[in-house]
Amino acid sequence: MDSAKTTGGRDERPEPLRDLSRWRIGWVLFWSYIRITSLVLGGGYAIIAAVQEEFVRRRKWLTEDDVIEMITVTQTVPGILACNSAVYVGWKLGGLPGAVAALLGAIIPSLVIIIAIAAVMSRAQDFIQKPMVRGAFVGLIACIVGMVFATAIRMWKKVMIEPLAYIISGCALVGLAVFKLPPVWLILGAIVLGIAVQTVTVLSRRGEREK
Amino acid sequence: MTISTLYFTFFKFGLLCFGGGYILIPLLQSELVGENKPLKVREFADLVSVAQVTPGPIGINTATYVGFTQQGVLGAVLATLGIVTPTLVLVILAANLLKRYHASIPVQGFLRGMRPASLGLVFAAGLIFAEMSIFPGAIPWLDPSGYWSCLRGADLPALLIAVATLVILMRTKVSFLYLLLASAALGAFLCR
Repeated sequence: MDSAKTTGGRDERPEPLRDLSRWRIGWVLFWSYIRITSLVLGGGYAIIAAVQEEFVRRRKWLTEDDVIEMITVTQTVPGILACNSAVYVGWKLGGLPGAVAALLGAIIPSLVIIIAIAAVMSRAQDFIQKPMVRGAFVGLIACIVGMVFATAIRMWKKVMIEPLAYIISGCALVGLAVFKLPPVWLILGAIVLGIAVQTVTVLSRRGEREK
Repeated sequence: MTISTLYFTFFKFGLLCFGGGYILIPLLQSELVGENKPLKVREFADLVSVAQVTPGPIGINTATYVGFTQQGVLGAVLATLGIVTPTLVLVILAANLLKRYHASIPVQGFLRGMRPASLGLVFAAGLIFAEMSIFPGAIPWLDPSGYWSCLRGADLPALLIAVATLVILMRTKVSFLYLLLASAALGAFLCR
């Protein structure tokens, strides 16, 4: 397999997952995460949207459902969102070596970029205030707005399957965007509500069957 | 801070980061910033502003920088490894538990609550990014009289970039990496 073909970003048909060795999968995970985290600004959700673009839409290694599950696990487990998602995707596709490869890919660009910047921190401050740099930053974030909404729209059909889903989604949206509540409370609330409703549903179904 | 304190301090932060890296900044502030503490207030302010406009996870950017100021490159590497060590273990554990007990009531209930919550949070994240680019400042959600001035203050090129990105991603197979590069280039000349 010609490696330049799959890593150049220009290939039209990425390799199907089942034909690949673990090493190859690890390498693709590592390299994909390197590319994503060295370009995507804004942290967790922006990186998750980029991961969805790369692994669902482009490579077709994951399904929409996998991504939704990835996001739920990513948000429930403590840790940095982008790294949680890297470990989850890596583990799902390539076991432990895959998880380590993706995680390293997620942290190496930061290490290199920040160490380079740290040496010139006071000048970096002036640099990011320059109009063109600020403009490029705004442009990048605007692009990420589009990416994040694309991810949300793709999730919509899979998630909005009952009235409860609209209620929980709406509360999470308003809680974070309007009232800026810490996500951890929204997440805990959703989990408690979900388990309560599920328990009631299952018990009442059992009750009906026994009648 | 010595190398091993760096590693274990950030290991602890990794365990405490519920709901993502946002909570890291207040955590760091209370533990590491101030007189007789490793970071000065000024240094910390620089760090926060630079970590947010640098590519990569904000939490990792922060850990790397703090580690670097304390112990150079080795410190940067260890602080970063410290914060991701819990992640590696906990995520794999969670993924396995989910798979193993997928049919059980708690897991089904967890997914029933968390799937829509995740969608809501992703939408909210999109709006927060919009506040950082298209609508500078904040969208006055609770004050309808402010909507018009917010709309008038919108950065039109940024709005166009966002809409174009959304349409292109939904309709074509163009890679998002090209869209990111093109947006940065366009933004440099057109956005404020």
